[in-house]
Amino acid sequence: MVTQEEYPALLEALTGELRRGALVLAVLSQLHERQYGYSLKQQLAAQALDIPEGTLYPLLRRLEAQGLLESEWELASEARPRRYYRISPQGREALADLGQEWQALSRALRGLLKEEKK
Amino acid sequence: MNDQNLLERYIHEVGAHLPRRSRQDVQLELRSLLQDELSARGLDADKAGDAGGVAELLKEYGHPEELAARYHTEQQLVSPVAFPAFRLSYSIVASVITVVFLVGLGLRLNQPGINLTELGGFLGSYAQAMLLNFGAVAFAFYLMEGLGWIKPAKAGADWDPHKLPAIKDTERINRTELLVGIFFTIAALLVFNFAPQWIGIVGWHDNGIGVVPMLSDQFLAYLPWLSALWVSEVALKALVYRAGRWTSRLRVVEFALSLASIYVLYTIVQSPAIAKLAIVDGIAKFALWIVLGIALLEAGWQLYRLLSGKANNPLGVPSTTENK
Repeated sequence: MVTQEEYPALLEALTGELRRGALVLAVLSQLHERQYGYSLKQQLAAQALDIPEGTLYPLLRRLEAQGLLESEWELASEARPRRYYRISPQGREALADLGQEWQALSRALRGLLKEEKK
Repeated sequence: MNDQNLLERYIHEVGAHLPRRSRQDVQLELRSLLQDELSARGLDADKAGDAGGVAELLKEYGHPEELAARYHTEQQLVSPVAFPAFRLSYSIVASVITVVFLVGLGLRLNQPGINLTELGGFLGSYAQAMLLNFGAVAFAFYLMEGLGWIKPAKAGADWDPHKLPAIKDTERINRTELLVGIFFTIAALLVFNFAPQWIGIVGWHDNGIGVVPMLSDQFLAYLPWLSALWVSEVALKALVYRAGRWTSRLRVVEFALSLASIYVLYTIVQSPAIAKLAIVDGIAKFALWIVLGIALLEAGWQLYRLLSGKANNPLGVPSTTENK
């Protein structure tokens, strides 16, 4: 049992756990058009999904290593390269499948939480 | 006070906790991302007045160890936290094995009758020792981490970016060291060419005590080659001194010179006698074999540095999945 002082840290950890799986879905959904790291972060933040830099950027590389994203380097200005990411065909397939899973989970949870409120 | 900006020190420190194959790529992307963030906040990493804002941004990214751990998601025996200590430990072990191997090889080569099979066996046992010890050191670190003896230094936001270590610039030169090197090379050049009779052992001869010359005529026949190498080395060091640092072109010249030295040394060591006395000849050849082994390792390192450096990739932009 955690104390009242420890509760905020626990809540933060649980929230992080809850969001972690959803981040992949969120990132894949925003990369039909190519984006570089910072522009993607801003785009997600504009839709109320603020992902810490230290989480988002390594996630992009992991998704690329898994074949769900593709990347290309481009010179944004003189001697300043930028890496652009875009969803891959395999990523699109995963996005569709994960999207369905998410809808099903969301419906189930809505039902469960409704019962909880009664 | 450190004159390197916090951004570069942070990027370097993250890279220090990553394996070599992904280090350059992650560092390049991280630099690009951080610069985007800084521009958006109106900060400049090179402005002393912006150091506070830069430090804040780095704290948001997390301690270098933590960030490296997030980038390093493959299955690993040694975690990014322990990676620098593991690399240092294995370098020490590998150096000891290499020196022992070279001494053993030198001793054996100094005796007659070595054939290719025996030489292959020597190299095989060296490779085996390197692999076994790599496994042993990695396993020792795995155990130490499992037992909780190695822990992340500072977790969360409780770390100070201003305390990031300085970056060691391997291409920066030590001018005193260079001058000492030039001095000794010129000294060798003069003594071997104008007073070869000074090179020998102290002993009795017809006019009393003095130096008994030891260099054989066969050795002296190679002197023009050695002199050419020494003159080239002095010229190279003078160019490095003038440039103030090693450049990729100078590194290429250094590598070419190393190859030429290895060839000349190998030819000398193969000659029937380099010294007039058999025992001195044996000792001199043994020493030359060790020098040759070290020169080979050095050339290997120089080649690796040239191939893995930015010489082949001036923009420092790595390959992408679209190009693969």
